[in-house]
Amino acid sequence: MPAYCACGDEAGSAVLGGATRIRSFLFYFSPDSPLQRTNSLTKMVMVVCLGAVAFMIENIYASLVLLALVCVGLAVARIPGVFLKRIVVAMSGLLLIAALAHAFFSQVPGRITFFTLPWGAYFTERTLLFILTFYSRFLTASFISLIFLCTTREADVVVALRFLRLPFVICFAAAFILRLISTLIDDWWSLVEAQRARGMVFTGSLMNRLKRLSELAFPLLANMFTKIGEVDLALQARGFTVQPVHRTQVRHLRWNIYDYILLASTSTVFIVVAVARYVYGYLSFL
Amino acid sequence: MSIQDQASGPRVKTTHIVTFAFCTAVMAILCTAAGFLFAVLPGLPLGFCPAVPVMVPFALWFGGWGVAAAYIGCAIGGILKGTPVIVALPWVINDVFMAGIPLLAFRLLKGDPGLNTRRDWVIFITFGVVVNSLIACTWGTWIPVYFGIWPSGAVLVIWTQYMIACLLLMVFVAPLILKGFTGLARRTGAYTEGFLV
Amino acid sequence: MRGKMVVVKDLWWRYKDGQNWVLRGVDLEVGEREVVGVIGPNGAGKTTLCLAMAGLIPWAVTGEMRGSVYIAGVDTRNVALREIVRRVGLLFQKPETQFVAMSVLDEVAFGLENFAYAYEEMWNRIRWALKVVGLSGYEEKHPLALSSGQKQRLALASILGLRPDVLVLDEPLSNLDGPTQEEVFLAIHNLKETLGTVTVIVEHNTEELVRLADRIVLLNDGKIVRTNTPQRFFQGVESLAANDVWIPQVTELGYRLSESGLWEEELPVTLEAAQDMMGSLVAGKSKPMPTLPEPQFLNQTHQMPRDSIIEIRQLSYTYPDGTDALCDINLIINRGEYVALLGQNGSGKTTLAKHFLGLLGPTSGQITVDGVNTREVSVKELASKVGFVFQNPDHQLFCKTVEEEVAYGLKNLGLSPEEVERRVHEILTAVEILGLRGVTVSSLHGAARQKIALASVLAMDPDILIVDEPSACQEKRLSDLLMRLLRDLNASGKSIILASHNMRLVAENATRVVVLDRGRVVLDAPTRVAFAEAEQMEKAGLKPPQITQLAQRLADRGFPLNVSTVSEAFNWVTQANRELFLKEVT
Repeated sequence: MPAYCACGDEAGSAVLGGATRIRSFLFYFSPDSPLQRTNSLTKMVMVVCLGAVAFMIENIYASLVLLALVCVGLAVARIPGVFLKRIVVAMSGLLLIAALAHAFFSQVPGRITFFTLPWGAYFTERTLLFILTFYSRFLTASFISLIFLCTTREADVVVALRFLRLPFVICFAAAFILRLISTLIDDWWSLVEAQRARGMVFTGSLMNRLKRLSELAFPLLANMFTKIGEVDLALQARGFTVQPVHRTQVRHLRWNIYDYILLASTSTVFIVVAVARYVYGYLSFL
Repeated sequence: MSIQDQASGPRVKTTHIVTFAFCTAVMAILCTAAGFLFAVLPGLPLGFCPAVPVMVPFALWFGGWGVAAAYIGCAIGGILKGTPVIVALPWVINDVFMAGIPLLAFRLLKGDPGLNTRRDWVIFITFGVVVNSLIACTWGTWIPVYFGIWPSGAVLVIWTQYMIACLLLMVFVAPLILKGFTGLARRTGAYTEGFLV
Repeated sequence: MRGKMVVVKDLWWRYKDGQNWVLRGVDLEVGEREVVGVIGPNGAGKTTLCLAMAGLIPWAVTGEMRGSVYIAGVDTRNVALREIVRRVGLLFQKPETQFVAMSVLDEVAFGLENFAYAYEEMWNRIRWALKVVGLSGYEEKHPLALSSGQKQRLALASILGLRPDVLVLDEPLSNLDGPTQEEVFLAIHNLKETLGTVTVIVEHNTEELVRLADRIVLLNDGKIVRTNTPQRFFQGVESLAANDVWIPQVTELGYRLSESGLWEEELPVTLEAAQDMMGSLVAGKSKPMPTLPEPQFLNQTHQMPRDSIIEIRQLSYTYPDGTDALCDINLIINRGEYVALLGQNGSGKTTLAKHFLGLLGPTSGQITVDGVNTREVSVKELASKVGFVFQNPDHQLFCKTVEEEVAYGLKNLGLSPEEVERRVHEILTAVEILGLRGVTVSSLHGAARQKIALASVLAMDPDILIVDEPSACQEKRLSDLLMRLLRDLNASGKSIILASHNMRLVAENATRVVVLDRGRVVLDAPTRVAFAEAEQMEKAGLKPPQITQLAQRLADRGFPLNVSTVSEAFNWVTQANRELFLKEVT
């Protein structure tokens, strides 16, 4: 995943090396862990349910407990710290906007008011707590996604979709999109390099950057149109058709004890939290 | 026409699926490029998403396939940038508005995506720049409030910033793409003057 | 048509938006167990012929067709496309084009799934196909993580799974280094020997093609110009050269010897035949032959730089994912030198070349270009001194017209409009595309786009020109133009750095060779000296030009090892014969 850094010509070069090594939309790697042994459908359910739980919980303590549990999950999946760092860096902009927006525009009453703004917003200790709660929830949901991204192969994502009996064309499109992203990311950075080699810079005024965007988007689109024709022929040359024909599968979804444990625990947590939150009013912001 | 086209008339073809997949992937990549092209601070692109001026042409050329590509591609782009799945999926519905509104307008009012006449330009500016940006930015600013990303008090400031970014991108970049590539797009098998085929 | 798997009868084809016929009355028959090679310049219609044989024309491509194509006696227009592709496997020119899956296993399984093969049968075929191409054990690898040769073999495996009766391979050896070409060649050879699959191969690499093909067909301007066995095919050298075909070096040598009266029999087309020819020429001459003078081997660590333009000291580069791409490189490139960067795919050539322009920054060490440390200047500033021609021209071109494209870089440098106009005119003339000045770039294809990409870089008049594995080097006409331009630039004092797999071009043009192996410089010497270092070259996974390979086989006959071009070999043989003749006479 490209590490996002400050814009600028030199910064671009720092980004390029990493980006050109991307080979997969997902960050899959394969240490031996129970999470690796669960199937992709189970993990997709986990991402959706636990992600929803992360946002249902507004209480800071409960949120931190959930974050801690997710971190345990990261450890069980043996995900290296560098992935955590990358995802946090990628989100840093959004997190910063969130913090600034809450700092300057919220009106959360509290006992200590740090400052008041002319337009009626004020920053209290509870505003700070709210920001921390938001960070906790957001990071929890992101880390849950990260567990999924790091323990699931793209091919397995498609197996899950086929298990759900989605039309083959949809499953194929999903697989192909995941496949294309890797290729086009490489193409994108090759384009960027080729233009930099002709003196293009990515600094300067907004108009300059808009112009640069056109100059990068144009060859990307031109390449795309060429490739569409080639890929269309390549698919048909291998018997692909959108007509409903009988197809078989080389991969099948496999279930084991870890799937049942994860599904049971995930759905239990979801139901308990949903009931606690919306029926009994617990887990709201203190 | 190829023999297959002659035999069966307008229908969903392999080329539609391939085009859809490519458009989606391009959207995803352009979404992630915001941090590279427009960031003033790490990951802070101030609302300038390079995918915006590309998704409207995709919708005008490929109909519903372009709109679907905008949604899924931007969702994937958001996930690649670290946005949780549960947040990304409802948030990027704004891209459905962004691409879908001009598509509806051009189809119902029979506009030409090549922007060859003044009438086409009027339709484009009205529905492809102003109306779609208004609705998309409104959605895109209020959904994060629901997830606690920013408070409702910040909506006006953030909305204004998004709106300016969308307008600039749609005014300065999208017409270039439409004028430059509509001819090429017409030659692909996926170009449609309807909504799907 | 009995016994003929593929019959093309008076085939004419014109694309929907095209005015000209691309195929003009092609007649071709391919019998059972036959391997036919198809050669010809770019734009001859080779790929179109491949599409027609695979049934994609006219089923999936719009245009106008006359004539017929029969596969196993059945007209391709009278049977559904899915039935045709079950019998004809088509390997596209760029293997990445046909990859649709995210693992080797899924890639090979794709076709089998589409035809609803049962689970057990599918797995049997997948295992078999991977075994044939030598990719067993790679099932879970991502296709993009494979090397170029492996990708090519995977593409082959993905069509083999269906066990087609006919294989149509469009340039299977392009962009591959020597040993990788050998891998793919062996895989195809395996198929011929074990399955007897009918194979049609489109290739520019005639030296490899003659080893594989039972018959070679020359296609030019949509028509078949000549067809014969490889041995007979290459006897008419002049007419082949006029059709822009690469002649095997040994054949060229034989031709020149026969023109000078030293050889009267059939021209050799393979190394073995050339070895026999040379053996006959030197038969009875027991004395060792005179050797060519050997230039000094340059040892960069002990030599002071002479007007160096690029100095690299202890350069190492590690990708962010931890891969060591370059290790402790020390290198000096002098002003006006013509240097070839050689190495297998993945050896670090492109990574090193990108450092010259500042596109990548060293992890450690230092690189100075024209006295300036690349860490201290921007890429834009270096772009005025260093021109980089990328492998894929499509990544560079985005302006509307050819003129705008060529002027783009010049405007970025801040030149005056008059100077821009002057340079644009000059360079369009040099690259022979002045007539395309106002043409829309997106309407041009193939060779024209490559020329535009080249022109756009040359226009910036860089002191150093880096040409990175140009695909132009595959096609003879374009290759000749490119090499001539580079020679002219070098003669005017520009430094040229060429990264290429085409050893023949390197031998004929570069004066110095730097060989990279796994990120390290393993050999740095004048071209002839480097190619003579057989062991070093082999360790680095490189194959010298065919003529040098011939020299290595004849070393015991006194043939000098540092012969690297046909001209050198010819001169040596004629000189040697003259000396011995004079000796005999006196």
